[in-house]
Amino acid sequence: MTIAAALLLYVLAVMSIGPKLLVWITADGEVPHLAITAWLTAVVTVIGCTVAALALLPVEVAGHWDRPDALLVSCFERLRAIVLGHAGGLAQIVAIVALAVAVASLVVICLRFGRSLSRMRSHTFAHAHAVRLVGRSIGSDVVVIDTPEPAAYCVAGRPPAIVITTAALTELDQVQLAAVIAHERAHLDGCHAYLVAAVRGLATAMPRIGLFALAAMHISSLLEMCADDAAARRHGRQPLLSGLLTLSVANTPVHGLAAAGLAVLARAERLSDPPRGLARIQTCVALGGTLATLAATPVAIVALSLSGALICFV
Amino acid sequence: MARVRGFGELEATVMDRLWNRGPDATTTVREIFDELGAERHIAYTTVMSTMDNLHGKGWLSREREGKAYRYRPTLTREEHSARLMLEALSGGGHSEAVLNHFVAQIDAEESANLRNALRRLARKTGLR
Repeated sequence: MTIAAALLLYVLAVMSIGPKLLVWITADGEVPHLAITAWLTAVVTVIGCTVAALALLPVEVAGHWDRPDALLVSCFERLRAIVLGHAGGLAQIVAIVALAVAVASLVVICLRFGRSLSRMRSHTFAHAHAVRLVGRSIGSDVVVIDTPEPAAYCVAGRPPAIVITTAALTELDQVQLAAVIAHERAHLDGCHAYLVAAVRGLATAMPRIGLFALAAMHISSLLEMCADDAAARRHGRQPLLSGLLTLSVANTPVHGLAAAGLAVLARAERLSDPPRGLARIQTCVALGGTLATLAATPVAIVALSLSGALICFV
Repeated sequence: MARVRGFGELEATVMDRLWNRGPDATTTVREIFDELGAERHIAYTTVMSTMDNLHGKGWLSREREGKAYRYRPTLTREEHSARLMLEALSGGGHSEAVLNHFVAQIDAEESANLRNALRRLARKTGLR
């Protein structure tokens, strides 16, 4: 049972130390694309390894039942045989129950994930549709809504829309407005909403897994930074930062809400003081190393276990 | 895709006409068709199915008068705007709809920090 056990061990390791490590490396938002890739790799390998381990377990256990000296007999199996004194029947029942529980929870999680995705999809598309009916269109994808709350956001849909309220229009000057619109358009062009929906759906389907909740939060913030970079490339950092400041100050508690993890301050700081040279290289190396470790470990586990098992067998 | 976009645009036009008539005015498909037909080439059935769709989606209410229905908006444009903002701004960006906000609402301390950040940039770039 080495491969499955080792994969599960890897999953546990990533879930326990991964979040802290990734938060630490990616917090300042340097090289946001790479940071997002690192978060996604952690999420994808955790899911992939869990599913692979669950799929391998019955194969390995069955191999043991039929032929005690089969290819996949491992140290763990031998240990279990010693502990249980070859109580095959009991072990079999336990294994079957565990497997049934695992499969049932997998089905429940998939259902929850699907339901969460479809709910987000219908709400988002309905919002985009309503925005088109209620607002007035300026430019191809920009819609103005007449409300006293200053706000600027984009919403995916058919067609998607960038929403600017009249209150935000009066607060922003022309250059700031262009930068804000470029920021929102970067979200639409990059299909950021779908990525946000996917990780948010995972966090909803498995609320107790800290890695997913943190990934959803940090990927959202990092996507804001990606969009900031895209807008700054076109319109410069200054108008974007002053737009950020103008709307943030204008936005101070209308509904009495605290900051919602969109990391406005972190964004302002990296816009006012962008990382250069050595600091950037350091972050790249740290992120690249983490990424490589996350991706390579499961592959190494499978490779080593297979070769190890083969050596034992021979 | 183009067809969907076209229908969305027509829905917006129809809602616009109905809202401009005042909150309590009721309108038939024929009246809207006559108005729109004067400006563009459009089939009566297209207008009818558009208004039927809007009724199905809850944007219009209708009551029968003789053979035809008289339609009117269920909510005013302002009420819809307020509802959209409530959805967009509630839950700190964690509403059911996936929206990418330019800024979240922030507290006073963060707002002060933001000002400082802007001042740093202004000093550095020599602007302002």
